[in-house]
Amino acid sequence: MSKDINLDTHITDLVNVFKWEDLKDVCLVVHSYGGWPGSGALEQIGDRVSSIVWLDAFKPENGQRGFDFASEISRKRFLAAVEKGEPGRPAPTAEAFRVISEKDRAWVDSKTTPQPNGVAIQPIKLTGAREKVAKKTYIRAAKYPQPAFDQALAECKADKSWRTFEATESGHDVMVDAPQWLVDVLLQVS
Amino acid sequence: MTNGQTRRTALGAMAAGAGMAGVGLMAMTDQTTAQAQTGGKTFVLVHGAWHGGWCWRRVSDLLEKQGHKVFAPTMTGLGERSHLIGGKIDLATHVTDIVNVIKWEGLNDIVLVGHSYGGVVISGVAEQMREAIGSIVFLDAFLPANGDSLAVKASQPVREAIAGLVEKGETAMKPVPAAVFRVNEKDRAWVDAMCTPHPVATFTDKATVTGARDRIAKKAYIRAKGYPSACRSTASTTGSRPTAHGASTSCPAATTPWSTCPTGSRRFCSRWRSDQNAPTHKDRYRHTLWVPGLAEFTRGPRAARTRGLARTRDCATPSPKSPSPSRSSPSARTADRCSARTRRR
Repeated sequence: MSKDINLDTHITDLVNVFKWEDLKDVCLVVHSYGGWPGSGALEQIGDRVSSIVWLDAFKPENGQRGFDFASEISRKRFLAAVEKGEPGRPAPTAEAFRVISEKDRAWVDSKTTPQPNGVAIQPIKLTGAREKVAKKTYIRAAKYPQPAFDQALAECKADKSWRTFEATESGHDVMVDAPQWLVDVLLQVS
Repeated sequence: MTNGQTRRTALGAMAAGAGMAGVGLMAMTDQTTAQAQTGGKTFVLVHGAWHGGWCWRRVSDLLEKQGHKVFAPTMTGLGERSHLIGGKIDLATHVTDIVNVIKWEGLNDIVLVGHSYGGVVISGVAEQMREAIGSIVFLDAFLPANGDSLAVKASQPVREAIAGLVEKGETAMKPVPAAVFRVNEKDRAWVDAMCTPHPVATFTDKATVTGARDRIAKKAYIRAKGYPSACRSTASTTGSRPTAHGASTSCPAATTPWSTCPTGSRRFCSRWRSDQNAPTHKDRYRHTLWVPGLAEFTRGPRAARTRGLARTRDCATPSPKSPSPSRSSPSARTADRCSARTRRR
């Protein structure tokens, strides 16, 4: 963890996997915050991606920052942390993400680590590469309340170039709560 | 579901607003089912200096096709993580890179494989995660004693280059050309294009080796005989199939090269013996005479025996059944045994 980590770092993390593994015809799946680096990465490697799946994920527009989507309380905490020079902030609990089983909650809580602050304050630069991908799918996890994802789902429903699905029996971590359902959808849409 | 779909690669960027937990490559195959059916193993493949997880691609594909689970993480500052290079990356960083994969993925009974410089890293990993390691494989790798570093143990040109960089205060060392590692000509351009500068501190830091590595149940050393290395064994090449140092890329069909235990390796063994922590050499490492594939080897000694694969012997203690030295040279004897096994197979 370092104060130097920003959105560009995470975008490059993704872009470089495509380059070093020489990937083509990829189905890119992004979850939650992953919508930020995912959108940014597509600006550079969009030609290597044949389908995208936005899994209960942010769908940012040009110039937006993660910080802009936080609640007022979160913003105050966030700014205080940045002022103190803290590189990251603790993860929300698995319960807050509405992970279904108690056993999985304990496991998820044991694995999550602080999120770097720098990634949320750098505005994203987008020119529309995400929308140019041939096959686009948005999946909303029904049991997790999040207005930003409700809005993204509504936008995708209104746009014929996106397919939409709702994971009715899943919290935010769909890969944890409903892995087989998710695999079936991924194979269907990629 | 068509074949085309099952072969497609899915790239998942996972983060639950709680940290970029990592980028996972999910091949859309029935791997889980395959693994359950075959009792597949879990491999953690650790690359060498200037390389990245990319160099294992052919080996990973072959292992996964056989139902095994493969992790080939790229260490900090290299390959697709080369944008993270900086002065703060040291040997502890790289050891932690691998330790954390084992911890976060909840892995146990793993086959831990280290290539080249990766031998220093997996020796450090063994210190922290011995309980999670079922077998350890050194693939043309450094096998450090306590306090060793590449700055001291690498070949002379590399040692001199490291010393020069330290003197200038440089923190990264440019890749050594693939031709020097005797990578096959066809792959050299690709390997050179993928290799990236390596953090110098990982070469100058001293390895901590207290004996955890030696207590791992299954241990193997694989020597790539097409790569001469004065600091490591200078095995005879008589009768052996040459495979270069970049073994993970050079020999995809066989997965790994074969390795013999002739004179040069004995010299290597005597160096291990000098480790005061070791009870006796015999209790420690044996050299793999011939390993057609890591997967075959790790099916266990019984399976290996019945298949005539992965025979091992203590390289410093001649087998009672070995022909006497007067009959043929040590390397020729080894070659004879290898070919005999090939036929039996």
